[in-house]
Amino acid sequence: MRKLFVIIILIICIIFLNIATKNSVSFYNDKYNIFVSRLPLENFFVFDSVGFILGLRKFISDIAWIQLLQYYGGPPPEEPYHKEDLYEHMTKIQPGKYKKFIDYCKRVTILDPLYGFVYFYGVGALAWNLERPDEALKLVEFGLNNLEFQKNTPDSDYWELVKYQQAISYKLGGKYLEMVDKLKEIVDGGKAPNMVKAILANMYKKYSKYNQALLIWEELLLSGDPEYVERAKIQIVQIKNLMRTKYE
Amino acid sequence: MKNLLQISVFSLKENFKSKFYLVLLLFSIVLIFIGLLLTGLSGFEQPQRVLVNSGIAMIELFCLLLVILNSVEFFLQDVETKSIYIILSKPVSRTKYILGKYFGMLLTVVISILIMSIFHIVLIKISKWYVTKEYFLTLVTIFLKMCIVLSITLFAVISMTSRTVAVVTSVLLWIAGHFTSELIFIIKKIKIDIIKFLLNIFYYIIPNFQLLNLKDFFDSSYFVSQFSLTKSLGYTFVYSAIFLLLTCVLFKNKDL
Repeated sequence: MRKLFVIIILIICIIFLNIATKNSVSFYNDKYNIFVSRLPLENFFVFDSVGFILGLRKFISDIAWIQLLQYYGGPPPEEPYHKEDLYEHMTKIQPGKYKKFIDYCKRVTILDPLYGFVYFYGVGALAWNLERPDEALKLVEFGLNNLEFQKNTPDSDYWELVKYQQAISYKLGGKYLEMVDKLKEIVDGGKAPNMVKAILANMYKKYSKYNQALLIWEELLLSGDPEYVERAKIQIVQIKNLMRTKYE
Repeated sequence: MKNLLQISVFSLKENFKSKFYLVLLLFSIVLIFIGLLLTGLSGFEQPQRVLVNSGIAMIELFCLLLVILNSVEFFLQDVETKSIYIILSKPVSRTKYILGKYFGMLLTVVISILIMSIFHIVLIKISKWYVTKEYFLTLVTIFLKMCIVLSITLFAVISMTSRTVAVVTSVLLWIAGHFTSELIFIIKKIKIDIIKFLLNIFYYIIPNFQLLNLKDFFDSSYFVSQFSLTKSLGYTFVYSAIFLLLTCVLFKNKDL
């Protein structure tokens, strides 16, 4: 009887201890709940869930990031199955390609909502490479919601995302020069992925601002990023030729 | 006190002699090394993050396996080989035996974390990256989690005296402890009152590993500033002490 009494008292102690600590402010509030955000991409659901419940959320988000790069780095896997799919995401540059790109980005950021780089990379690719600014804005909103706690920090990822949002708004409004200025602000901020730098360099080239374009490609060449080194070499030669033609 | 220390040291030696421990340690070091290979796949701009996160994840997983499997195995081995009678026939109380096993295993965990983290830091340094002080704080929280898991595992193995059941219970509580915010979401969705009530009790009994899960946000200064080491230490101490007390109460009256 005494033993039972001791056990009951100890269990009550555990309950009180947990009541005192479980409601404290923590990273794991409802906003970051995987059931609320609903993990996209059914193929990876079991893998993601197992990682999540084992407490390996951040590690699994890294694997998800690698899978995102593999998806975006490989040939576009989706073939249109229905007639209407042919017109979905119909754009100038890459019509309907990498349709699940936003889901891949969301998957990584649901697993690790603080992974700022993925928002920048995803938004940059969606808005300017894949020409789907509507989806890019959705990802921006998703990111802003996740990073809301950074609102009071001026140099945070939250405000960096706001800049992307503004740049996309300029793009949608046809204000391309303002968009370029905003992208320059993003690149100067120092958090931009190399992909966004390359996008800005291409825009400078398009608007005949060869000096600025050359500076960015030279920076990319020096960065040593294997994805951009070869491209940078070619672009530098091309831009120098264009400059020569322009000034001769 | 002397007896307690002797049992702890004996438990530590027992762990280091175990082939299973060595295989597990070697395997975890290989896995940490694989993290370095993963960095090659993670793009040019994010390699450090992958190496750091994968290493920390492997350290935690290894410690979890070590704590659950070794503590279950060694306790049941003591009972099955009857060596527990030799220990208990000496002037060693059952409480001291449990505490000795507990601290011996914790010492093993500390040494294992040190070995793996040194290897991990060397890899990080070779890659010309840096280690922040939050990294070390994360290792401390991994250790704190292991203190709780170990107390639960000892309770499970002594109350159930079955390898499988004890291991499954500990793993399930580990999972549930990381699933608390999702569990409360499920509870809110459930409409049957009795299930809701039972789940609520379960929610408040399971350990809150999220409180100690610094590894998920150690790179965010905002969340790190919200993390309280004192609170985490206090929580770990009280939770482990309660489970150890429960284990001692059960073990005192157990027929071996």
